[in-house]
Amino acid sequence: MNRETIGKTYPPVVYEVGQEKIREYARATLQDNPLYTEPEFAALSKYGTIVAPPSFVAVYCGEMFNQLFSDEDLGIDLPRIVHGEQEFKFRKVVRSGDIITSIAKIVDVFSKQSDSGVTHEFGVLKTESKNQRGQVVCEGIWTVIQRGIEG
Amino acid sequence: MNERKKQTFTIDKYLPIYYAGASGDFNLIHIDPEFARKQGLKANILQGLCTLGIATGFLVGQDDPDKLKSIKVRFANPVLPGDKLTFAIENTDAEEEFSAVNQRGDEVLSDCSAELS
Repeated sequence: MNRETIGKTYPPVVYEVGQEKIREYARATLQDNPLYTEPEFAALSKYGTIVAPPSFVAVYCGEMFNQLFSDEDLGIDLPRIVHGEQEFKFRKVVRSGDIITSIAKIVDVFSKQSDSGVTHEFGVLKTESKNQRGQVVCEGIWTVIQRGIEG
Repeated sequence: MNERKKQTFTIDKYLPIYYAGASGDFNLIHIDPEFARKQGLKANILQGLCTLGIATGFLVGQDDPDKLKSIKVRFANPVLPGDKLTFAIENTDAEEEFSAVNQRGDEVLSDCSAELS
């Protein structure tokens, strides 16, 4: 990964949150809270509609990673990429019908040698996502590792 | 009030494929066992963010998701199809440390913390 890309920002990604996508995502992450899965129950809640689990940020920021992984400046070799660390700050619950706009910036690129002597590369991306009212819903710090090739 | 909460989840053989469909993360190391092995992995591995999703489900439970203010994890060991993951948290008041281990006792998430209101 190219260190010169530190500070680079990517075009905003716009995502419209839909009820069926939330339910599909909740099932695939074993989250059975009825606020995510049962429209009648959620309609009677303070939200008035199905809401997304906090971790749904992985979906509305997903396209950001297609941009990152295909960025020739950064130079990622996708099969060698694994997720290293993740941090999210959740500011506001996302509801079905929300339109989320996310921006991302590369904040660090570095390499580190493992105990076995293989050098792994690390890329750190910061994202901020806002809803259609301009309220921040989530901030993320995503660390990906490009695994080194064994000597 | 301090309380200990613990919950075990079984990772269905096809969960990485369901998660790929739900999230759009179709990286072949997650869905193709043969490809994953060629990359030096034991098998296809579950998407880290799926494990994080399961962790947020464990932390929020049946409550209002607004209670979860932050989460931080390191993906310490790969999660494989068929694994059984046990999540535990000591206290559910404020900033908390929680754990996620597989049936072999390996931490799949390490340095885990979450802020709950």
